[in-house]
Amino acid sequence: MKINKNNKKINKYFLWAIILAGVIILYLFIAYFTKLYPFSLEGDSKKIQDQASEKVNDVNYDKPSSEEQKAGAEAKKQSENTPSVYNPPDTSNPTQLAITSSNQQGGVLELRTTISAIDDTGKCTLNFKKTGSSTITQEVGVQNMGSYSVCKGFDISTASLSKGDWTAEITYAGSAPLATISQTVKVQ
Amino acid sequence: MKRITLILLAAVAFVAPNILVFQSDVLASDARNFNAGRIIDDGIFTNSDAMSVGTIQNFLNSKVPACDTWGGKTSELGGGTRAQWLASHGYSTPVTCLRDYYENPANGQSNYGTSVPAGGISAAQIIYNYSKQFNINPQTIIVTLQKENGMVTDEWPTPKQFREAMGFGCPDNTAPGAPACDPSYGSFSAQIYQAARHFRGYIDKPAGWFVPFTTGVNSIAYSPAASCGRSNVNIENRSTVALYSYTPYRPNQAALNAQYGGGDSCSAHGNRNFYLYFTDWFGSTIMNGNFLRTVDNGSLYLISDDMKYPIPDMNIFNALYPLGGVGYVSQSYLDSKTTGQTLGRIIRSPDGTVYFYDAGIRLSFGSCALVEAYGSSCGQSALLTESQVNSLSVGPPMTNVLNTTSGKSFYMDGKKREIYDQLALNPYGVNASTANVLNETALSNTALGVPIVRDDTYIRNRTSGGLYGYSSGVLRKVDTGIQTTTYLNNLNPPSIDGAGVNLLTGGTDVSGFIRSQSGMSYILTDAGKMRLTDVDDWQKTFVLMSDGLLSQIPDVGTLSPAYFVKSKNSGTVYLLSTGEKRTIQGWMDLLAINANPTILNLSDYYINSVTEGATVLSPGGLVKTQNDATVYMVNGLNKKIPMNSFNPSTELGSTTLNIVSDGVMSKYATEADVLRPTVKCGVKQGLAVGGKAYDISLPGAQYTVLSDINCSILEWKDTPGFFLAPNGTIYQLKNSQKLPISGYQMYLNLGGTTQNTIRASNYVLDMFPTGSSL
Repeated sequence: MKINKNNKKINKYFLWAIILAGVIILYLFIAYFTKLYPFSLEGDSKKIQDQASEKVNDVNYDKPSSEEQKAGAEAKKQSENTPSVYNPPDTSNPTQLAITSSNQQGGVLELRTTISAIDDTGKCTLNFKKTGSSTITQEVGVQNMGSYSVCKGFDISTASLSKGDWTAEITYAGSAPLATISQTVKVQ
Repeated sequence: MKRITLILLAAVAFVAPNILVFQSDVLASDARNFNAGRIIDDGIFTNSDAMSVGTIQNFLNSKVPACDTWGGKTSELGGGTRAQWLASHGYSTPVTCLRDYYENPANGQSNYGTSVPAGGISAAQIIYNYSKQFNINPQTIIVTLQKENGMVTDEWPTPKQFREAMGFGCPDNTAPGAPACDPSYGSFSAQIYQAARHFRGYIDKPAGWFVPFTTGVNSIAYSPAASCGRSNVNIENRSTVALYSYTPYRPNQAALNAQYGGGDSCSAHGNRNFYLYFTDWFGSTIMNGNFLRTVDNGSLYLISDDMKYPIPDMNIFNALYPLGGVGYVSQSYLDSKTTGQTLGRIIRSPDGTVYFYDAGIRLSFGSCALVEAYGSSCGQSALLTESQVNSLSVGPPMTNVLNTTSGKSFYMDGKKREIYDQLALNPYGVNASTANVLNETALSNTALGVPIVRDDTYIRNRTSGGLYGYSSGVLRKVDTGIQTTTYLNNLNPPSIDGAGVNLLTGGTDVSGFIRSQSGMSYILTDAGKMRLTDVDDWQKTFVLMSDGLLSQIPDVGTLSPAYFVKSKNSGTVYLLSTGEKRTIQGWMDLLAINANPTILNLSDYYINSVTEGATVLSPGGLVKTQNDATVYMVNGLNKKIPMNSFNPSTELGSTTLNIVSDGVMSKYATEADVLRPTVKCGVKQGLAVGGKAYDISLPGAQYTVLSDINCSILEWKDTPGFFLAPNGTIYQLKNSQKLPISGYQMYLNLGGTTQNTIRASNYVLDMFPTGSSL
């Protein structure tokens, strides 16, 4: 009888061992295909991770994350909060005029601007000044960019400019309130 | 049970960390990586081949797995259920999600809340069509849809969202009662069309487009609110120009720290969200490199602003590894770039500095003349962007000399000329030891010039391993037979590539038979050069070698005939004579020729260069053939004397008879007369008795003339006074007669001693007439 009891105990242990072996084999099977330990190389793991994070055109077909949905909902909210009816430019609000770029390339100084209003009938005037040099004046139209406007670009030949600091004074006049800006531009 | 639990815990401990690692791989992108000057690369922004209609549709489906058609879920915007919120804002159900949306672009009619109109095409098709028309990545459009109106993930979009889908024509304004969107663009397809068209226009900047931003330094606002301020951004590419031109605000740090969140009152989210959505959904916005190709065409280009430079080989690509890996773009994107010259090793930065590059390092040139020394010109250098140039490490300035990691040195003068050694380079006034060391592949596209060598040098051909001698401007190959089997093998001269060796003026090959400028002749041994006193022994043409080259081989003595030589690879000893080698069959034969012989070990080159002559028969030896009974005595190295009796040879001391082949025998000329015991050696003549020659004259006798060698092995003695006959009789030799002596006392009285008495055979005694007894 004692001997029989021991046999039962052995069988129980044997069963657990089989289950454990099954778990390990299952894990190793999964690990092999997903490159988990011990099939991942410890030293290369970061490199692989880095490469994965730099993948290009790696389309993600997962469901959107909660953060993505939340940000989307916020965009929707802002969209829905704006009136549906198109209004003309708000003349009660000051117009913001900014010089966005003043780069020299190909012998031309390009002055570019943004105007915070929607307009395509106004005018922009540039007075480009430097002590001891003649003032350069240009007048251009305004272009509607969809959500803002721009002066139609001031292009000045650098051949006619002496090196040093110049003052660019730009004035916008159109359907939105008048705006002006003055900014130093370095000619090289 | 406890033991099993422990085992299970161990198993869990083994598995769990790896599951955690696995999960960490799917972390979202980080807004703090947002690069204001390079939000997205041109190759990605304009890759219109990135998705097909099918993959766009699948993607839209994946982002809205279930459309809330009837608005049954709770509204995120408040107001109860979504249906209730819609009703309170003048909308009705059912809603149509983007994934299911169809519209006729010609009239803007859609299937929103109803059936598909005539001419309606899916949102996926509309996105695809305009992405192709304007060469804009459909992913760019999808992400813009999401960042403007959240439409891609929206389970209950409103008709207004479709009308303002891309936010085009919707001015930013902080004032109350701000203007809404321009109804001129109030359909989904019009929104996509205008946005794609403007993206393209911002990139191409055609005439009449006054794009407010450009590559370079720009002033960009943080928000529509002027009080939030502006800051400078150095925009690196046209696609980033396009994004700012579409949404002219940059995110402030609070916006970046907030990831997808709000930030502060000055936070603008448009371009930040573009970056986040794009990265999360489609991967990196950065090409991770400047090298682009299409999927279908393997031609690789380095993109630099509006130029594309074809990459001719992987060496060039590898040398510019800091510029990153290869990206895939549409053919139209590549076509939009002007094709420059095939990229070589010379590049130029925007500030005009010209560089050589290799292994990710840029090395500046001091002058255009130096650039030309490298086979290029300042004008041919490829113009890279400042960023690209700066990504290469700074190396030392270039010089006319370049060393390679493979151990070679080159002097550059329009071609690459391999340098033999510093002494050869000295006339050029430069030092190779301080020159830059680069990969040899850096010069792989440079034409090869004549190597720089100097007179009276040995040169190893690196390609073939062959040895050459160079003197008086002429390169002469050393015969392969003596390169490794003589002292030349000890030379370890500098090597030059085979292609360079071939450019040197060639002359006659150097053989193993060498003549110096002063007329002395040499052969080469392991130890050095052996001077020959008689070149006829070799019957070879001796080739002139400069004294400068010869002086590098030590002298090992002088060789005079007759030589005994043997191969280093064989024990056979030969006698070398008059252009033939003659096998010596045994040591005694050798000693018969020269009692104190010197045997010279030579390479097979020399041994094999002479024809095989007759085997040497031992001078003085007796020979016959198997088929002929005639016995001969060998006389010297080329003659044999027939014998009609063994008596003469016995008296000459030759007793051993050897059987030789007919062939060997035939090589020996037969003397006309038979062998006699009376022999002549030069001016000496005498009688052979018991193996020695005695100065004895026999009136009327005929003599056999022996060769010098035979004579040299024959011992000559003075005239004896007495003969001792085999029967014990003693004779006095007097006046060519033999006089018998009657008694021993008489013998003593006549002066007989053991020194002047010799034993004589009856054959010898019979040659002398017998006189009266004493």
